[in-house]
Amino acid sequence: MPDESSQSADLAEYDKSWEQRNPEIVREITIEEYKPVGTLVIALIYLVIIVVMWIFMYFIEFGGNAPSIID
Amino acid sequence: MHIHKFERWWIRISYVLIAFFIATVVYGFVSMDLKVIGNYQTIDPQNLSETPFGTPGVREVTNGGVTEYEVYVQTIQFAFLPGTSSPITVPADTRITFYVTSPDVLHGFDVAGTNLNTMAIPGQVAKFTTIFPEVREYGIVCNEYCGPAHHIMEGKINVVPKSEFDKSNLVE
Amino acid sequence: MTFLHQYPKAAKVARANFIVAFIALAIGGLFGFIQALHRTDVFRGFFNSGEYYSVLTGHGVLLALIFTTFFIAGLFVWGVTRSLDREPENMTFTWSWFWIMTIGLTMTAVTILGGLVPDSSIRAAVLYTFYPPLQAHPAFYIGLALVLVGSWLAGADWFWSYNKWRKNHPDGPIPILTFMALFTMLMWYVCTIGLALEVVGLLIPWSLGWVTEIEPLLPRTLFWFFGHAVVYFWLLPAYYVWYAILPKLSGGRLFSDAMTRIVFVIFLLLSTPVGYHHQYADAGISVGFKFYAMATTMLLLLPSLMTLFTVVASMEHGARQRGGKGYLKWIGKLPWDSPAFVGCALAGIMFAAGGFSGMINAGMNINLIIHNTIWVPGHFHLTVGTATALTFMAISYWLIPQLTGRKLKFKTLALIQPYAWFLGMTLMSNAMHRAGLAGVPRRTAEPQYSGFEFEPIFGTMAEMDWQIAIGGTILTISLTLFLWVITASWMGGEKADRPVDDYIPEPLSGAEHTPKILDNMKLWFALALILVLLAYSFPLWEMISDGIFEPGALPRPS
Repeated sequence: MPDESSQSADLAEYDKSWEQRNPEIVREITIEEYKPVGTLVIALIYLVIIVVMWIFMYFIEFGGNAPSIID
Repeated sequence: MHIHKFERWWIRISYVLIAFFIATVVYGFVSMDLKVIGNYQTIDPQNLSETPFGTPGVREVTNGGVTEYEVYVQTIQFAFLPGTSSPITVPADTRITFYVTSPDVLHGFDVAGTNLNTMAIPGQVAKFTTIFPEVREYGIVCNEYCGPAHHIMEGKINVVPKSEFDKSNLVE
Repeated sequence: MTFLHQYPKAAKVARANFIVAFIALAIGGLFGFIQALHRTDVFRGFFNSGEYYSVLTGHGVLLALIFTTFFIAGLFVWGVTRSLDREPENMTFTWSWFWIMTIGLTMTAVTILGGLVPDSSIRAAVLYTFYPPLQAHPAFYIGLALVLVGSWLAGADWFWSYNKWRKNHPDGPIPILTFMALFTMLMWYVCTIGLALEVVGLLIPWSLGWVTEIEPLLPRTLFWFFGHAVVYFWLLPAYYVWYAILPKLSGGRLFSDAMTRIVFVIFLLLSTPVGYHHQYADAGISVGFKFYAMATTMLLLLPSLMTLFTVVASMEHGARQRGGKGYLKWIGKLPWDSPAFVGCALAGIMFAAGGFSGMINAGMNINLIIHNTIWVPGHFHLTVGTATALTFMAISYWLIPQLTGRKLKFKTLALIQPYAWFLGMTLMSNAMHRAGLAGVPRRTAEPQYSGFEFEPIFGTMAEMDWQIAIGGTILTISLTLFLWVITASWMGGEKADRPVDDYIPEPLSGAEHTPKILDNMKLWFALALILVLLAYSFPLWEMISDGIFEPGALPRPS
C-alpha cells in the first residue's frame, strides 16, 4: 500500500517486515499459524457473564419488581 | 474472504444471544404481564379542563361486573395533580388504570422502585393499567427535566387494603 | 518524516480541530466535576440548584456534541489525508467548514453560559436533548444548525478527496482508514436528516416566534431519529482507532480487513431505525414500532460483538508476537506501560461493561426499570464517556506528536492518566447504575425528596453518593493530567523528525481477501435509507397528519 510504505521507518530496511524491524517482537506469527484461542476464551467468559446477569436482571430484578404495567 | 473458525463460532453464538434476548422480552411481555405503553390518544394540552383531566383524581368504574379504578393525573411544573398536595389513594389487589398527561412541558411519572414508569408528553395521553400487590406508600418522581425547580417535583401513592378503601374521596 | 512534514496543511486543520475539542473538554469536564459534587450534596456552593441545569446543559453539549464532533473531524482529516496520500483539495473550503462549526459552537455556548448570568435573557437550560416546549434562545438552535452544516461540509471534503483519489486508482479497495471515515459519515448523513428537520424545520421558526405552538412528540421523535445514531457517530471513531491503530500499539496486526468493513456496513444500515428504543415509555408510539426498534437494536449487538472478537484477536496477535503464551497469560505481555495502548485497552474493557447495561436499556419492557434513572448516564459514561472519550485522549498521545512534530512530555503522568480514568469511572459508574435501579432519577440537581426515601437493592444511598463524588474527583484529576501533558508536549516537547513510530502494518487478512461489494457505498447508503423509511415513515405520518404543530403546546422559558 502506498500510504503505508511511505510511512516506513527506514527505507534501507524496507525489505524487512514490520515485525523484523521491531525489537520488541520476539517472533512473527503469520495468519496460517495464528489461532486466537485466548480471544475465544475471553469472548466465552464475557458471554457467560452477560447471560447470567441478564437472567438475573430480567427475571428477578425486573420480574419481581411489581407493580408493573400489565395492560 | 478469510474468517477464522473461532470467529465463525462467535458470530453464530452472537446470533443465538440476540435471539435469546428478544425471546425473553417477548416471553415477559406475553406470559409475565410485563407490558409497555402504546399509542392511546391525543389531547389538546391547552384545553384539559373540558376533559376528565379537568377534575383529576380517582374514579370508580365497573368492568364486566368487577369494580376497578381510573386515575387521571396532570403533571404540571412542578407538581402532580393529584399526588403532590394530597397522595393518590388506591386499594391494593385491584386493577387501577392511570391516565397521565401534561398541559405544559414534558415530565416523567415514575413510581420509585417499581416498574411503573412513563413519560407525560403534552398532547399525548399515557394510559397504563396495574395492580398494586402490597399495602404501602410509594413515592412518585418526575424523572424528565421540566424546568428550574424540577428537583422538587414529587408525589405519593398510598395503597390501602381493599376493605379499608374510603370511597368518599372519589371524584365525579 | 511524520504527518506534519508530509501534509502540513492537513496537519494545521487537524490541530485546529483538536484545540477546539480540548477546550470544550476542559470546560465540559469542569462542569461535570461541579455536578458530581452538587448532585451528591457534597458541595453546593458553586451554583444554585436552578443554575445546575445550565451547567448540566453545558456539560452535555460541550462534551457529547462539541468535543466529539471536533475531535472526530481532526481524526478523520488525519486518517483520510494519510491513507489517500493527498492534502485536502481546497484549503479555503476546508477552513470554511471548520469556521462554520466554530461559529455555531460559539453561539450555542454563549446561550448556555448566559444562564449562569443573573437576570440574563439569553438562556438555554434545555439540556442536550432540548425537548420543546421548554424553549432556549434562538441562537442556541441556530448555532447547533451551523455545527451540523459544518460537519456535513467536512464529510463532503473527505468524499471530494476520495473521488479525486479514485480517478488515479480506478481499481483496488478503499484504504481502510478512509473506508471507515466515509462509512461513519454516510451514517451521519442518514441520521442527521432527523436533526435537521427538527432544528431547522420546527425549532428555529418556533424559537423566533414565527409559530407559537409546537407538538412536543414530533420534535422528540425526530431528535431520537438522530439521537441513537449519534452515539454510533461517537463510537465508530473509537472503533476506528481500535481497528486501525490499537493492533499496532499492541505489537500485532489487524486480524481481518473484511470483518472491519462488514462491521461498519452493519452500523450504517442499522444505526438509525432504532431510535424509538429511547421512547419505550412514550405515549403516542405503538407497541409494534417499539418492538421493531428493539429487534433492530438487538441486531446491532452483532457488529459490536464482532468487534470484540476482531479487536481482542488483534491484541492477542500482538501479545503472542511479543512472546505471550497460554490461554490468558499472554495478556501480561501487552504493553501496559504505553499510555496510548493502556487508554485504548481500558476503554475497551469499560465498553464491555457498558455493553451489558446497554442490553438492559434495549430490552423493550425491562427498560422501564431504569428509564430516565441515573442508570442511563451511568451507562453512557461507560460508552461515550470512556469508550469514546478515553480512546480519544489515549490516541492523542500518539497523534499529537505527529501533528506537532514534537515528542510527548511527562510520559509517566500520561501513563497514570488512563489508569486514573478507569478507577474514577469504575467508582462513579457502578454507583450510578445501582442508584438507578433504586429509582434515583437522572438530570436532577437534588435527588433527595421530602416524602419518601429510595430503597437501594445493593448498597446504601450515602455510599453511592460518595462513590460518585470521589469517582468524579478522580476523573477530574485524570482530565487535568491529560490537558497538562498535551499542552506541555504541544508547546515544549522536543522537536523530532519522527516523534512517534507512526507506521501502521498491513492487516493479517488483508483487503485483497475482502469482497468488493463491501466497498459499494451507493448500495449500502440506499439500503440504509430504505430501512429508515420502513421504521419512520408511518409513525411520523401519524404525528403530522393532524397538522405539523398540532396538538400544540405553548412555549415555556427554560
